[in-house]
Amino acid sequence: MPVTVSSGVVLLTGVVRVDDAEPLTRHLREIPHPKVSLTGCSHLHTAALQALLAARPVVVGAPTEPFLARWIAPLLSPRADAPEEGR
Amino acid sequence: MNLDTLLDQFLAEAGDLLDLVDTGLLALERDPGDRPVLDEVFRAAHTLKGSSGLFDLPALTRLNHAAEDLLDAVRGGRISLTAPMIDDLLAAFDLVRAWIAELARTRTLPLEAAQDGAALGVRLRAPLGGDPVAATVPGQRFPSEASSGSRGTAAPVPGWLLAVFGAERVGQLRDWLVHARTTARVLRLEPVEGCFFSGDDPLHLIARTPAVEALDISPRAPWPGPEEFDEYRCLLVFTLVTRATRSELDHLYRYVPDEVEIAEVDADGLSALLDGPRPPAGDDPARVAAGALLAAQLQVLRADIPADQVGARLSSVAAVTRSALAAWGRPVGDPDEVASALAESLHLGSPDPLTQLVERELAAGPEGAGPGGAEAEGAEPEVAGPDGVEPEGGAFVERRGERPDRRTGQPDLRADPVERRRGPADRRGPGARMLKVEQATVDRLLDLVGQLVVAKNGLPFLAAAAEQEWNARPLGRRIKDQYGVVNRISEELQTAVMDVRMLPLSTVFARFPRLVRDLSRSLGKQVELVLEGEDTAADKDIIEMLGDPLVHLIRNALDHGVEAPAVRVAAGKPAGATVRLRAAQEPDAVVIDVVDDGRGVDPATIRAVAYQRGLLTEEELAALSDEEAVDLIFRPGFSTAERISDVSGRGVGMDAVRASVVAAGGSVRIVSTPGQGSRVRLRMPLSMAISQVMIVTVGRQRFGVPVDLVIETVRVPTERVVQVEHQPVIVLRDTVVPLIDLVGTLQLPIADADPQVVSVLVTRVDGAEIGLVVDAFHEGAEVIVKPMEGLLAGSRSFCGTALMGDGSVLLVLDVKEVLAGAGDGL
Repeated sequence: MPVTVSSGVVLLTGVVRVDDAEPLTRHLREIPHPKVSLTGCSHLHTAALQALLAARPVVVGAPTEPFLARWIAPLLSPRADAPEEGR
Repeated sequence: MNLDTLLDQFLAEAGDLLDLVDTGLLALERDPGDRPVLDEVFRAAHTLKGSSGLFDLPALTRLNHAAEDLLDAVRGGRISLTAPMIDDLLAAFDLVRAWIAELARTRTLPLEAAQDGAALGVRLRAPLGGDPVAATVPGQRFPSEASSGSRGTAAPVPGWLLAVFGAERVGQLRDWLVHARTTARVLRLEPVEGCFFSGDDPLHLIARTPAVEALDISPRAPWPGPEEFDEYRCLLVFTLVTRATRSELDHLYRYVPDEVEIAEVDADGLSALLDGPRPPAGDDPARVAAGALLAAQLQVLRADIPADQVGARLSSVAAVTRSALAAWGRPVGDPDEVASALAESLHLGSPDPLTQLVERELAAGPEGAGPGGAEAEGAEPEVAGPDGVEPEGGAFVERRGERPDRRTGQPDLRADPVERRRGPADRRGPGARMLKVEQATVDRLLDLVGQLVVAKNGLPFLAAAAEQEWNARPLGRRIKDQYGVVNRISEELQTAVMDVRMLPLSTVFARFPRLVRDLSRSLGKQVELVLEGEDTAADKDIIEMLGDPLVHLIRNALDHGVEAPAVRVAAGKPAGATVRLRAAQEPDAVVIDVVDDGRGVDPATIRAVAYQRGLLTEEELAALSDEEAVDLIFRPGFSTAERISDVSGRGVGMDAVRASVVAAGGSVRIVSTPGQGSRVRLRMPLSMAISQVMIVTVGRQRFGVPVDLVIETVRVPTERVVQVEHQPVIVLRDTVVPLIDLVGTLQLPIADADPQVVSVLVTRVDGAEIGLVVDAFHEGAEVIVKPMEGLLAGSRSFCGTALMGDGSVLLVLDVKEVLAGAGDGL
């Protein structure tokens, strides 16, 4: 299961596919002040990303996958300034 | 929408597309130069590839992809179609056809698919030099752009760049470009809202984009509230700056040419954007194209439109007009002129108002001066750095709220669901026509049927009034006759609408093979999941609510029911366990069984745990039958898991299952044989939209009682009511039925009922018969029960209200809660 919940933290692992967006959205809606961990996530489907961007959960587990770590994590961090371009 | 349903749609569509490809290829064999046929074949192949990408069927997607690339190369004039190529293409699509048949049957591709497909793929790619990259034409947003996009010429940098990244970062980008003496590409991807349904994953494209220097992902409009948020509507806009070459980008984004905008940026262009006045935008290809689009709309409007297509045609014209105007820098404001012109046109049934609007806009031309239009499209105000918003950005932010979403265009698109299919799909040939309809439309239909039922139910009251109050018996009879007719029609209508809402259980079952596979692996158990009766249909509300309970049940079966292989072998069972998920239709219900052949539930263990947890006293436990003891697992706070696993056993499983099943009007029971396995049976109503209630009077008020709980109504002489342990009971056919006085329980005024007779509504709740003492019985009625709202929302004695035919409001009793309130221990 790419989307699981463990003690209030929504864990996203492996390839999160389009049909995982639905349980993800539900968890984010149902859990008060949801937290999410992207540590084991290797790809996030757009629909899942969108659910995260809309719900803005606290990211407790930073992604390790390079693209997610470089570009997606900053988008999800609270009010952090967007990443500066690097070479 | 569920993937399984999508797969069905894909399968239905694929047959048509393959037919189209076959005929087309045969025609091309005779005349390889037939351009329209070639285009048609290409589009069909493209659609096949696109749709197959939605499912996890790499072999299918790859083969379609190879065929598409070959066709594309032919179409682009880079190679000419030869007879062997046609043979290969036909062979490829024959293979696809065979796979489709297999998919329809087993939901998977044959084992040898990857191998067969790869072999054909190689043959298809051979004429292309075997290199997939060579096989593509760079996708261009607008044809006119194709020749002019030479590198280094400072085409105006799109203004949205500034809006998205803010002046500071654009400035840094400029400094870097100056420093490195290079150029960069900016890319903006605005996927259509329905893109997920056609298998697109825009983020995947973005992730594969090389050499990204900056990336922004923002919603194109402020996020809707959690209630409106639809996770399957793509609202995101992606903007990035990359050092990748134009041709790399064109190749990567070749399937979404309409959704992507790529522009070359150099230091001068960025300087112009940051500092200077912007060059007039008259030559902007987007604007030129928008003009052409508007002119085309005018032609559409002036052409003869078949009467049955007027609505669809006008709606689509309005949508296009709106987009074109937005590109012209004239976002439609509030009031939305396009929408009102469309409304007027639809109202008059004539294209004139819309035609006039388009003519007027065409005459006025694009917004020439100032930064507007194309630049204003869709970036996010929040993203622009707080210090970085230039005056232009400010103007943009103000306009933003008024700008209708050019992609959404929802009202127009909804008007014609067929129109809503995007891309080549709507060009497909005749065949089984499927209509995709917004769920909200069906819900509205059902709501209207409900209102019709209520209105219809008013007729008998009218008939009675005609007879009694106006003494017009013949009129009353005629009203009753007419009522019979309306009644029949409304019943048929109701059935028809219900049928639309019916979905096969396969839509919920679909997720379980994967779940079982993953779970059994993580638990170290061998489990085979057998699905039966997936075709059984039920109302979509039921289908939707079933997902979570079934996940719990399956998890429980795997975690608690199924033993480890060694234990099973020791017990003389096969090492691999079988879990069956079985659905069957009964006249008034859907029955779903989750059956495992695991260790079963041991009543003794359950008793011990229940005692341990303090759920029941020793005496209570002793009084329980084994069956009742096993049923305790549905009690809140009960969990027999010795350790908390990550699979189940968090103590919320089974009671949550029962709670949600019961809330949906169903029931759940478990039957278990220790050592041999368990069967959990869910009985769900076929639909929960319209319910039958029995109307009773209590304390001068009328209430509804759900008919499915009512066993019978009896009137017994008062002296037959006896007291057993301070509890009034009656004996009915050798069964003791405890009585609950509703007047007292609901704290209603005591009415002057007949003291000689007691009216008892005998109900069955949780397997026990309980008599409700009421003042009088009335007829049954079909009602739509609406949840309690406002001040009464917290009231637990009622499950909802229903509007009656005579306009009165009926409170529907939640019998279980009433009983819980009347006294414990029943």
